[in-house]
Amino acid sequence: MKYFFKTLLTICFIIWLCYKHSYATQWYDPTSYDNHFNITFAPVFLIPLGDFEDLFSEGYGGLISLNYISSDKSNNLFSFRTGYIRLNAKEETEEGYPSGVYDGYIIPFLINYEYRFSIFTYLDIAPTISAGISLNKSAYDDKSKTISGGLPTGYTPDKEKPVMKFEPMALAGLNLLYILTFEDSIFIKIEYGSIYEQNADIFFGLLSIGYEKRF
Amino acid sequence: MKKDFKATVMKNFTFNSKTLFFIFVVFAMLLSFPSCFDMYSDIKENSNINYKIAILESTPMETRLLIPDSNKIYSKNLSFNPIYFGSSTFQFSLFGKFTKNSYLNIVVLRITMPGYYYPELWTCDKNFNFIKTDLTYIDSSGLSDAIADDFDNNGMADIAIVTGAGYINRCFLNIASPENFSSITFGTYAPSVCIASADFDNDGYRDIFAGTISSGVDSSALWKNDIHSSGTFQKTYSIYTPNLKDCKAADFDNDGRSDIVLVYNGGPIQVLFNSGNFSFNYNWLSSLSYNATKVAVADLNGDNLPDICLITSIGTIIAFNNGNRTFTVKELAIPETADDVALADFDGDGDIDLFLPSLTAGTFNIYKNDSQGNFSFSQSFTSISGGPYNNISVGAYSN
Repeated sequence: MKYFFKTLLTICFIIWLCYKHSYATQWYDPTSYDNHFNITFAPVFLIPLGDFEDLFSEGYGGLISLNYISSDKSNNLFSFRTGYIRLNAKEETEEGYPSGVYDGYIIPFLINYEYRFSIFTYLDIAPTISAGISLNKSAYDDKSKTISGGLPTGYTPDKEKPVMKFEPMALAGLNLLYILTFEDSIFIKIEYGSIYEQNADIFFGLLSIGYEKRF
Repeated sequence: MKKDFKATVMKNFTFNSKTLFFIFVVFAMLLSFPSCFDMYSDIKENSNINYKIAILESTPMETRLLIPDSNKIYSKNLSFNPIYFGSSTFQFSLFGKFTKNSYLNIVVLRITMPGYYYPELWTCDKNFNFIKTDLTYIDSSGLSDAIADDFDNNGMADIAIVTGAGYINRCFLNIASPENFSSITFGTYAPSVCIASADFDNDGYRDIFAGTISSGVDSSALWKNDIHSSGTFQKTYSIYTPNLKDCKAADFDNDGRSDIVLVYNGGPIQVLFNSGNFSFNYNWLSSLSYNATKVAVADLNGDNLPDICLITSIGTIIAFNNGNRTFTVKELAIPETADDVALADFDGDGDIDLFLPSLTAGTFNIYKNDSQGNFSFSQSFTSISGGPYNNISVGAYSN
């Protein structure tokens, strides 16, 4: 919990620092002044890390983000981000035992912040952070009632017990954008993420390749 | 008009960004406030992840732990308490969570205590480096059966033993891990043969069924756990069970109340169905009688109902639970004559397998379940030389 608070405070401080001290250098194209919405679509690939790796082999899905552009000139980009990431359960542990875990999914609800630098005419790079909650669902064989004091109780596992919880989620990474037109871009985003758990290290890598449209 | 619009937008820019930022911070802070975010760690802990079955074998003079290797073969074994030369203490070993922090806990009890060899608690780390603690507060002499369970709900396993003639049944409450236990007696000095524990009255406390072969006040009895109020166990139900050999508790009729199965030497399989308030108004009896020695319960055919497996003079018998308070009895076509039975998922494939130790052959055999309750030979390993064993325990551990 302390670690999560520290991380959150650090993220908030960085956002505040960027916001307060950044000088907006990037003008939007005058012809698109009236286009106040930005939307991105991206298929994503999730690589579980840490304790997450024991449960799931990989995840895939899609994320969209939406933001309102209120200025003609800004490097700061705040957006709301959501989507669906399906998780493929590991069938066996490394030692060949069945994991007892079945498919799961993550539905994130995140506030995303990016600070965009133009490094070449058509190329932007942006450190990005996201934080919020995620709705996580999984199904597993609950064996907790089958053992008492180390001895089998005679009770059977609760097969494919579904569990669903909202949990805090945070992402940090780098976004590389290639500007196609004043209103269209494509991007590759690499992020390192975490779902906060008290007694487990749930980390993952997230790769997004997508398209951004201003309208 | 356009200028006015732009002016409005610029004016709102600061407001909108700050609002978003504020929402972001408050949102994140609020979400991090609740204390329970353990979905995935719960899944990991309560599923099969790294879930293995260890076997404890106890002989009159030695106890050993068998653990599976990466191929699920029980080739690795660890011996405890080196043989006491000239002093056969008759070991009886149990798994249990006797300490809060240790990885795997084993208690080795003494049926006889010549020269006063104390029972021992063995705790280990994930590399199976064991540390021994003498349990000087426990006198387990005379025990005929024992069980590890948390009777005082303090998160640590206690030990309840039933005893032979001349000894009284005792429950040792684990009050200050690892070595401090307090003793409560229940029952009489009449010979008891078996013990089972379950929360029979659903009050949140584990009760005890102590099986005897005596009659009258010494009959088999159900002892209500009243430790939290009167500090002891109260007898609430008794039944005369001559020739009783073993007992186990499970919810056979899936009504949320724990029932009891009793097996006899020269008697039918008997299941007492719990009708609440410590009464058992209905019971099932098998049509045939068996010379049974041991019984174990678990769901063997994957229908989520506990089945009954018993060791008899004619072989291993399974009474498959039909779910309507009746059972279908089937004799297993297994050549070995077993002396005991333990049920657990030894091969980690999600169903319950059979562990049948044979005293006469000096071998321990595991029979693999095909998930439908059909068993085939899986592996065999030898007993401790110099057996015979006194008891077999199986327990789950993770790493």
